Amino acid sequence: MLSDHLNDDLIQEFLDGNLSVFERQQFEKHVQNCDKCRWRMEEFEELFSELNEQPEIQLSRSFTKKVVKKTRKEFVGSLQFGLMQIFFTLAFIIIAINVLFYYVELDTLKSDVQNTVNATFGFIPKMLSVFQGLLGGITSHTRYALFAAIILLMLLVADRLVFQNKHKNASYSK
Amino acid sequence: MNDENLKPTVERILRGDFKAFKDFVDNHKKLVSFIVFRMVPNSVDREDICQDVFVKVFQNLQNFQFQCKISTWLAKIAYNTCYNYLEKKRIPLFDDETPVSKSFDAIPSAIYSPIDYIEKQEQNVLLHREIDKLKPVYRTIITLYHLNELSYNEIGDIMKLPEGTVKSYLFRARKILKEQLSAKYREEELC
Repeated sequence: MLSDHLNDDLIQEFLDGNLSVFERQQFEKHVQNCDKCRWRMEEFEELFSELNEQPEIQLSRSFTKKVVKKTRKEFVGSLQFGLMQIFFTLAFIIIAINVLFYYVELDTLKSDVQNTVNATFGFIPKMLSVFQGLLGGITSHTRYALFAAIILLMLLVADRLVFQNKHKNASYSK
Repeated sequence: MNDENLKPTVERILRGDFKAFKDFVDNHKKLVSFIVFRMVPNSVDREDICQDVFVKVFQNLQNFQFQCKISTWLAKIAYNTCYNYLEKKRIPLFDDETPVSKSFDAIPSAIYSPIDYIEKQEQNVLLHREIDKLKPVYRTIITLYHLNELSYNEIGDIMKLPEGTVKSYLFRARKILKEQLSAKYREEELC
């Protein structure tokens, strides 16, 4: 049994739940019989209770809205940057190829490349003529609206692909 | 909030679901605001810093692998953001002579009877005042332990202090508060 009075550290160890079962029993026995130590423990208990019950901080009503707005701006900014990177990379490749063909005499290679492109993408002019036939019956306003819708769809697909690629490495294992 | 329940929310946020992020902010702003409001003396900057914390959370969420509790991770970001702010303003964290904030604008949310309410408010005001007089490091540890309910180990991880030091600071801070409050109450009784 603890015969000396309890010091402040021991009281706090008890209230924080750091004592072993035996130490707790000794502590509780002492406190039952010592008014001074019980009174000091109660003072600490009251302080802990007040510290644990601090009122919630009132942030402005628009706090969450502002956070989401700020985050959206950052997110869109980084996405636009990603699309810009793709655009400039493609533009660079196209310019580089054109410069190469301009300065280097590669007639054979040029004709080979042309033949390959015609073979691979030869269906596009045929598709375009079929498409033109279909479009022939549609008014110009509708045509523009259709093209705008197709471009929007392509942008949405590109947006999804870029976003998914950015976050594909996230994993949640503990 | 259980971290297992948060995994779907985190996945949705990473897919660009801002509604999920809005809910996440609402559920965790209490934790962040407690830390920021205790560490940052300038009341004008506090809410902006809270916002910055959540922007950083969003930016770094893809790197969070649930290697610790999400509340600990959030507290770490909040603490580091405040620490950088204090460094920028040349306000030391481990120092006695820190400008004391006089405008801690918290409104009690509990409802009591009128007399109890006034008494409770007075006690809160007194406690706030005494907490604000503590060294910044003591204030921070008191907040992280009692309001954010973090363990000594978690606090040590956030503040880059050994567990023993955290415990020692916490005990000292509480002793100071107890003595100051007892002295104040005795003064009031004598009036």
